[in-house]
Amino acid sequence: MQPNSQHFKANATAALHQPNLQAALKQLELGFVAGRARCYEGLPEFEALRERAESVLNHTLENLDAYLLEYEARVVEAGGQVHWASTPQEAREIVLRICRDADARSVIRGKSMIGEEIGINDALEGAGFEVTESDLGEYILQLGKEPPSHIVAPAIHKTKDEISDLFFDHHQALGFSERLTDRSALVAEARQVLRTRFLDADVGMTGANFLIAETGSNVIVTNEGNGDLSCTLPRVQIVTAAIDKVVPTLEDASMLLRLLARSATGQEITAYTTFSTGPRREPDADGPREYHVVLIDNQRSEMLGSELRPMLRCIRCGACMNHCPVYGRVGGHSYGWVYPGPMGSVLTPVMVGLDEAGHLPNACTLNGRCETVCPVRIPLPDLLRGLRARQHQQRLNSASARWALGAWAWVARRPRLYQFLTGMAMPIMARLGRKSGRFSRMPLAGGWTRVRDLPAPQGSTFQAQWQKRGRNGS
Amino acid sequence: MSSAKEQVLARIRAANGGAADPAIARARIEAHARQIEPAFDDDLADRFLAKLEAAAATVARVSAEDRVVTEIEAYLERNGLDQKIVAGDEAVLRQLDWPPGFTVEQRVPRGDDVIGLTSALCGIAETGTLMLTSAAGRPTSLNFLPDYHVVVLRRAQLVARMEDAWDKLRAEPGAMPRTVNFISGPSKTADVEQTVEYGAHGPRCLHVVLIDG
Repeated sequence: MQPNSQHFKANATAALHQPNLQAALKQLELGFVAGRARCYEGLPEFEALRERAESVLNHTLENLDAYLLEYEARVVEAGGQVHWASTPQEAREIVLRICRDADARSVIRGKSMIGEEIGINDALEGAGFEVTESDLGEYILQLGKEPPSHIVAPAIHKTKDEISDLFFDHHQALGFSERLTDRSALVAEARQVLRTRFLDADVGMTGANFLIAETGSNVIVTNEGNGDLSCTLPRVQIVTAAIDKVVPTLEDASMLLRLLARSATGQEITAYTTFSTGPRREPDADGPREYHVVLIDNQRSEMLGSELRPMLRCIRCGACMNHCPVYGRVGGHSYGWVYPGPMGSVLTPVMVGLDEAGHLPNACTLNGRCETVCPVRIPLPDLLRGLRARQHQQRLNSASARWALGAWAWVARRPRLYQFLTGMAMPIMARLGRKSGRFSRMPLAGGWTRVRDLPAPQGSTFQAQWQKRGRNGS
Repeated sequence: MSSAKEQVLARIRAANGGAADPAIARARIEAHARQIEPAFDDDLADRFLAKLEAAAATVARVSAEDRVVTEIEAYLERNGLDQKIVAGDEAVLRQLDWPPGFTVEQRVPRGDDVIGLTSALCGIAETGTLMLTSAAGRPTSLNFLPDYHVVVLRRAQLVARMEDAWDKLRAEPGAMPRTVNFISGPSKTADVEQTVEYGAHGPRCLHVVLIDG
């Protein structure tokens, strides 16, 4: 998908004025956030699991080349094939080649964020393949030609009415002549339409929540059973997975599974967790005849060598966005690319460029809620601050911002001057703002005060008050 | 020009300050040490069934194997279903003595089959999870295509945690099966306005019969 992150401010302003989106985001707080809190309370080992997950994943990253080679060897032993891709374009070419070599016509897809990242649907459709997204949310978005707005619940921004319209428009040709408004009827109709697609598909494509070096398995978690059917019924299975998905053992995957659904949707475990290892064995009753894994780098090895390395622990649960006050108001589309929220604000600048996505690391209040809930303890606020520093070093921020930061830094490095200036300014501002107790306009800060007031200072600086309290011993 | 594989590995090694020692990875894999496991001391069967029910599955406990067919018959009647079943080829199911009127076929299911009957390698009490593995007589599609999935297992097949299930699987002959499914409830979706609906793509209903004797 074409990034649209440079319009973050305009996107966010528009999003704030969409009542349907605002209602959906409110619901997210009631659903996922409350659910995660219940799970956290219900599992005394939660913090210990977070710590262990962090250390196991750090160990894996330190030995990533060895684990990837072990994983590849096990896949090959099980009769599967592993293809490596440095870039999204290489990954797309590999997938197209596999589909062509298999004389495939139709592809059924289980929801996968890396599929979005590499733009696989457009590539497949452009090459003449018939592609169907089978996750209900993704299917709705495919009909509406929209990108996902959440990595776990991709269509949360769509209302039932909009879904009714989409199904009515697209399913009439398939013999469904009624515009349904009942939620279960909509789900049942999608089930019926997609059931035929599952049965007819030549290729099933999924992502991977984990790759297991011990067994050469890929793991997917779903509630619908769609990814599971996608990797069972078609004669060819293609798994697209990033190189940071590998974990050493089944035990390690189990530990991460304990964290994943709890952090994502507030479930102890999803309805389905499926481990696929190679193609069907000779006497097996069903399963694909071919099993391919496309291992994708796309900047991850670059992140591995940078201060963004901890981001490679991410297990894509979405807890950071669910708990982010910015995401919670502006929704996922505002971020302008595949990954929204705090994790997206780290990944998008790396994957589409800091010049395109420069707003994202700045669309953060550094409140730290994302880091607090992250199941693998990624210091997201630090990483976002690091990207801001990169931006400054690469002179990607505006001249006025650079000038203001430079001036502030110059003063802040001279404590006596800093105290003198602030000591002068505070009483003046306190007097100016005495009447209303706040400023609704400030010179040079028009953008800030246009939508909010600056509270007037009470008379003296924090440092002056602190010193006074210290002297009084209170 | 070197292959993409060589390039990716070279970049990883450069980022990590050199190649990793494969022996470290191999040793850790061979040890497959257990990580942190949640503590609980509930009765395995009670916990297993309670967790399944909390995830909208239905459950039944029967005292002996010869009660299984009666239980399934009653389940079909409660749900107004025809006595037509597609079943997996498993020891515990082979012994069942179906009354006249039942059609029980062992085959790969079609898209319009209504009832799938299977057993499981084990049941995991921690989360109320069934572990099913693929094999010649056990098509994976049987766990997903029919609207109703009925699973019969013995109390002795219950284990406490996921790690115990892996040990059980490692003790089985042969390598990792092509497919291992963890099933912890019926198929569901919350993709329409974040409200849960059952039967998205997989079974609308999951019914677990535990032989308690």
